[in-house]
Amino acid sequence: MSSQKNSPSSKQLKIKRIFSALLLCILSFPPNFLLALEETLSDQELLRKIQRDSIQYFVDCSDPATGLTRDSTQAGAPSSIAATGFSLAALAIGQKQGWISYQQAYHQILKTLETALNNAQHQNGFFYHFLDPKTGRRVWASEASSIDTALFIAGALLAGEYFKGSPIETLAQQIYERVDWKWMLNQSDLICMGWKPQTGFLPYFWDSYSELIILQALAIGSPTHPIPPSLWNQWNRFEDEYNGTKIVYSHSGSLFTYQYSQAFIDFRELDDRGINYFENSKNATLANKQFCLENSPRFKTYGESSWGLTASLGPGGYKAYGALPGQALHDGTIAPYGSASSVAFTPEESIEAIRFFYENFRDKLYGKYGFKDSFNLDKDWWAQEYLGIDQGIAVLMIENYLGGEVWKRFMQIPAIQQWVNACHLKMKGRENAFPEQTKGSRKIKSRNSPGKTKAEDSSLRPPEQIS
Amino acid sequence: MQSKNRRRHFLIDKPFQFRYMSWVLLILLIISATLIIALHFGIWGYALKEFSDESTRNALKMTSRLNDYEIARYQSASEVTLPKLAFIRETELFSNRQREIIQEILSKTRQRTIFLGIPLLFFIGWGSIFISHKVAGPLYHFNRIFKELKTKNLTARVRLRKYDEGKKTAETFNQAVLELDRSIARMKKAAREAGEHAKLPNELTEELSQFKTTQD
Repeated sequence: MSSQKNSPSSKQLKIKRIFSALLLCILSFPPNFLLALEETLSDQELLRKIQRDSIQYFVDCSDPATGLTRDSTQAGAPSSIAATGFSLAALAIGQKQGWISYQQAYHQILKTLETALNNAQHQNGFFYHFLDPKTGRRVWASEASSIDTALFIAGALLAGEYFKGSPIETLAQQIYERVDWKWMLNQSDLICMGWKPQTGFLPYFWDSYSELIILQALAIGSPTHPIPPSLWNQWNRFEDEYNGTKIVYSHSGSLFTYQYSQAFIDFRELDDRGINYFENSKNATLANKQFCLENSPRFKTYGESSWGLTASLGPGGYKAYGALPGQALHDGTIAPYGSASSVAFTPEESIEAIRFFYENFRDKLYGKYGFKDSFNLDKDWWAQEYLGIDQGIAVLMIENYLGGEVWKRFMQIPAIQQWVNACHLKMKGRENAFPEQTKGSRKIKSRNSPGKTKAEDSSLRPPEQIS
Repeated sequence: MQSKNRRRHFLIDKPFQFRYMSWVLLILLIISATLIIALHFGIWGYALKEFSDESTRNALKMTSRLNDYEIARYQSASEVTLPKLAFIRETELFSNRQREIIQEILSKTRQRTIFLGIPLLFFIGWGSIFISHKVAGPLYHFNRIFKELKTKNLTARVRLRKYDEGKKTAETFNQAVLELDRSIARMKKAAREAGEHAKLPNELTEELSQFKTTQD
């Protein structure tokens, strides 16, 4: 009998039983607990992870031959010139963070700029909204778009600042100088939204506060075809109160309208006749959160940590979701990029939301390119796609929150300084925000290393010279 | 009024002309077949790919998406657009896209045809040179021999290559020159022999002496 008890087969049986019990224990834990065990990231690590994964979108979804970036991961999606602009900025950031090699980022950005200068279809320098990613030809009968061109130019100029003194800076400047901003006024005091070969100018103008600031800034600061600085005062700054806070609001009330321009322009110190747009965006973001909270009894998606009404995909297609003040179109769809991209305005609230989305819905909402576009718990609807511009804005705003690198570099661009001065935007404690630029200083030159020639400055060397 | 010199019969040398006709037809057949195959497979290859169920579905999705983008951006439109009107706009966008695709297909096919056409042009050029050299070579030889004959050199003969055209003509021509050569040679010999016994006019002897024959 004893020999039977101690036989190898009974020992094996015991071991098997113990393992089975352990396995059952592990499997009985909720998945979230297992995920928590898997990795616990600090706030900064989480933000960097989102940034890094989002940048991968621009590596994978850009055409290897032209560099043009697809609008979304939807099959058959054309390239979007705005997404391509964000791609230039994201690649520069990715390179700086060491996630992409210098060579790879340099060559992809250079290729994209060469395509933009030589092959991408444009009208008076204004690129068509959607282009064939392989050829750069206009597709979907799209319009030569003012705002999308501005976002591209902003991305290109920013990349030029990251690769100072290299052909990237020169090409970006050439593309910028080619744009005839005056033409897009269509003899009015407002910038038109676009132009089509068959029908001419669109009957829509950038007439009120929105993402138009970046467009105005580049148009007024242009060294070749500037629009009169007086036009800065022509667009409306509609103001309304939400929960006792005054906000200069955009028509849709979408978060992205408060973010796009400020992904590039540092408004923290700038004052526009009593309006500080940074503070305004902060207030608009808090209003957006509050609006979601107030509507949380109606929609399961909304909550203390689940907010972010901005233009995104939804169960009924792409919509300019937004909150009050503004049109406030909403149906319970939240875009994580909305709250994430406000991290520079409302760090505490945004990180709380990001962490909530990441820790609770990671399996459905997070993928290889960061957060997928949006979700709606009421309709159990989860976007399966990533949108280039949505991934891009998150990358830039996180970068600004974690060090303000984009702001620092972008504000060094002479055209931006020219716009600040021309529009008399006051910097706290100073009459003129920037010393007056001489005409010659608007041309490309090294500003980071005064007194050094290009050859002496290691940051100006082309990639093959950098070991 | 018909010219007396007008050629009434076009088949002068049947084997020669039929042979040339066969060559030209063969070349044209190759060119046409290549172009037809390229166009057919080019257009249909792209068309089948671009209008597959999957591509059409994706295009329709993008149509709807782009319409949504327009509505989202041009806020005023969202206030007035009814579902049916949105559908009309989507149809318009889709139709635009289909036209772009067709244009793209034709453009790609044109590029492919040009791509194929360039080597074909070289082939035709090379082929015509190859074929015509069989005629051009003999003509050159005839021309050279006529120049020799002009200098009264009766020893010159037309010598053609194995696959040259006009061999029979050359043979007949050489026979004629040979006969003339022999005849002049005989005359020269007769003049020489007669010169010893009778006085011949200087002009005749001088003229005969200018001829170069195979007997000299």
